[in-house]
Amino acid sequence: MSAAAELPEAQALVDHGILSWLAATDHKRIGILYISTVFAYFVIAGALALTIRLQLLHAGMTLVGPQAFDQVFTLHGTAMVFLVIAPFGFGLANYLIPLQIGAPDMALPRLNAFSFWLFLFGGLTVFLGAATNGGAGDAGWTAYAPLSTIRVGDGLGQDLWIVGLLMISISTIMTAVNFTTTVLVYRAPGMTMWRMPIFTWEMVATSLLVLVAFPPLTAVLAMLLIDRRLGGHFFDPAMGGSAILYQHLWWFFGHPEVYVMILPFFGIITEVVATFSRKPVFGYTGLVLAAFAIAGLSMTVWAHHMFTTGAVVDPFFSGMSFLIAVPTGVKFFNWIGTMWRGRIRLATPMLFALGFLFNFLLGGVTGVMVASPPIDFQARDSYFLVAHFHYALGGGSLFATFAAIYFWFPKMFGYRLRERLGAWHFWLLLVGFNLTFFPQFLLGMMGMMRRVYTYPAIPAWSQLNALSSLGAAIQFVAVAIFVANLIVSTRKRIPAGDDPWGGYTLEWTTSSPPPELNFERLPPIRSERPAYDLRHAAAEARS
Amino acid sequence: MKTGVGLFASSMLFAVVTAIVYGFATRDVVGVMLLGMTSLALFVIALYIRVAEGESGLRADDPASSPADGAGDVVGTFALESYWPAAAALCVGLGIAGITFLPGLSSAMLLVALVAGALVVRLLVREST
Amino acid sequence: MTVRSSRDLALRAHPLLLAVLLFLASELMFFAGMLTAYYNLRLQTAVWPPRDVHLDLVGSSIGTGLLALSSAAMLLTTHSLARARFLVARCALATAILLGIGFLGITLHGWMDDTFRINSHAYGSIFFMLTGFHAMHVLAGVLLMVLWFAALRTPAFERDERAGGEAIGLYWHFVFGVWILIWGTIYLIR
Repeated sequence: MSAAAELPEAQALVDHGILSWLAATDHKRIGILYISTVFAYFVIAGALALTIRLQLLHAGMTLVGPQAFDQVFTLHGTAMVFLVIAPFGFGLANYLIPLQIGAPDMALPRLNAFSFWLFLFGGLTVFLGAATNGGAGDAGWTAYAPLSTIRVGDGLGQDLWIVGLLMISISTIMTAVNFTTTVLVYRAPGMTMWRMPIFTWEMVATSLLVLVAFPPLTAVLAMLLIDRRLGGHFFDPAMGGSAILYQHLWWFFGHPEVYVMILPFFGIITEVVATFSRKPVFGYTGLVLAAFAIAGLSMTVWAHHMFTTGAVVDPFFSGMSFLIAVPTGVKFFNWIGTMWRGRIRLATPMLFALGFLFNFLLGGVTGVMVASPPIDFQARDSYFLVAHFHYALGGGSLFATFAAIYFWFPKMFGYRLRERLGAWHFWLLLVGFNLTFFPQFLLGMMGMMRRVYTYPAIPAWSQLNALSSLGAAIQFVAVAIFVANLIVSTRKRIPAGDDPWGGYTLEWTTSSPPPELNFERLPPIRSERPAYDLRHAAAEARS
Repeated sequence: MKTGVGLFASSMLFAVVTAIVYGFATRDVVGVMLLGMTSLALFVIALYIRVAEGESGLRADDPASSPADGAGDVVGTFALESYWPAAAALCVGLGIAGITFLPGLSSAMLLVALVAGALVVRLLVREST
Repeated sequence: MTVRSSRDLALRAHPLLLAVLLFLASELMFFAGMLTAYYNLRLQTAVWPPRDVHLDLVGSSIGTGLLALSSAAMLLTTHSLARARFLVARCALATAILLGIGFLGITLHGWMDDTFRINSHAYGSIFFMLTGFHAMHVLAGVLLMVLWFAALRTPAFERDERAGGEAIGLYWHFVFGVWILIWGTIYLIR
């Protein structure tokens, strides 16, 4: 009467051909499609990052000229934001949400598949710009008007950037609709919302943000397109338009977007920390409420990106930005509380989770710093800011991404990744990452601006830049080790079993990988730790 | 789904309050409009779920319920394989991308792409529903 | 191969309807972005609307009326279908479609009559963007209603099909609701 039935191994994913992936509507397959695509974009965006660090190794290098450099950092930023970090969260959620709530699939499986393919095409469209005469979009990932409304040559690259993002925006909104509907309607009997895993809760908050914040992105992109192609004047002050309007609309989307890029990862960290501390989640209610407090507040802080325009009331946005640190702090204390007096196992997912805690703390604290207008006036558009958001998104979300991969890979594919290589991956990434970005705080304070293709030959700047580039090289090695881990682990597979880690949530009660409709038989759900409860009921029954 | 209603209702309340505070603090129309419309959107969702929830009686919301209770309940309609999503995405993608090349014709392009795509798929693939 | 539902859930809790509603909320935010732009630009411009803009209040009011009646006809459609009054439903739906097409006609006529264009000034840009996107939504709604009309050969008792019809109804009411916001902004508040 085991809840995790024995199933022929070939069931879930393996026995169909390549073409079957085109027709996939199973959320697990779509999740894997997302994650694989994300990884490909990650490699490309990473290569672009390495290009940047190579160009900035010394002052006056001529590896990449200014126009090309603009395209490089634009594509790097655009890809990392829209094609890597955010969609990894959605891809993982696609895989996990139905499993975690005990549902057979997402509410609208075909819409789910549609979202994925549109996302894929959107990314390709953005990169297609690189193949055009004028090159890819080059106005930064933020594409401020009027820079982005100026058409150089046929300007196709920037246009393709815009329409690519339009596709991604639509795709993401559809995904959020699907997630929300699924969670509201398809939970298994007994799975009340207050028993759902924290990861699922974070995805609900994320979906809410997407629903209200992405449509203004669609609107502002359409306005940009109209200005560029139809002679519109939205952002043209001479004819009644306003460049500040662009920034308002962009950042009303843009700030929630960065929370879309962190909330799912908070969920990942919660699951990993609890499992490897061998304790229940500390402060479950607090974590849920904090997630929504963060989501809500994130919609009120957008103009902290506009302090220096003189067109917004700085104190309001500064105050709200300080405020948002509070629920974030609550989460930190809850994670620490979870680990407190726990029996900690330093498996690879936990290593990355701990790395996240350290890195994101730095990212968050420096965020509070730049929330203060006087500091922001100095730090804005300098490398200080670059370091701040890389600590949050790279040191934070990227580390959580790897935590998630090491944690859930066995569930998805039925075999484990190597712990030894995982540890090497982690330590090298931690060192490399910090070596890359910590010097950038200093560079920013010394006055080095962002989005510059070279800098004056000041000795301190050169040294710090060199350190930063060295860090990037180390990160490259770390990721190469990760790839090696994937290869080695796949060649000689170590079976994972249903529950290699002693997890708490429903996905650990079914086989690895799960069968087509996820559960042969659902266990009773009486708490937020149904897998744990099941194990202990079985243990008691035996004794 | 009572929690769902609470979720959207409290979010709506937050948005309304913030819109008002923002309006007085900054006298800026952009924020008031955006936050105001956000609260309207959330209100619509909360209202609908309230109405729908009243009739639904989901087993999931009953903390004492077990999966065994749901035996015989067939949960929903889940299409298990389909080429339509990929084909539709291709058509939509082409249509939107087409805006960059031929602005005036892009909507026509979109329709043509959609119809062509549908026909091609129909002809080549026997779709399982 | 699908797994079919036979559970006796009330129609409104059908996932398709919930999903469509959530989508409509997001569409509201899409129009919110445009309406925000309108008010922002308005507050920055001394003469708004610009002098070459002549707004046809009468024509647009007629259009608004048509859309309102169309919404009412749609309500009648879904209402009758729920009571299996099939013939009434089909007539009401046909009426809704025709009224919708009438609205589109008035919109097009208004556009052709206009003395300014999308590239004349910022006002022109936001005017045509707002009315243009709305008209696209109306067109999509009319197409959906036509498809539904064609499918309504026999009364729809299958829950999934009924949900589809209700979803179209929701969408159509949304289109009308948003039009009130747009029309109020452009023609009343100006």
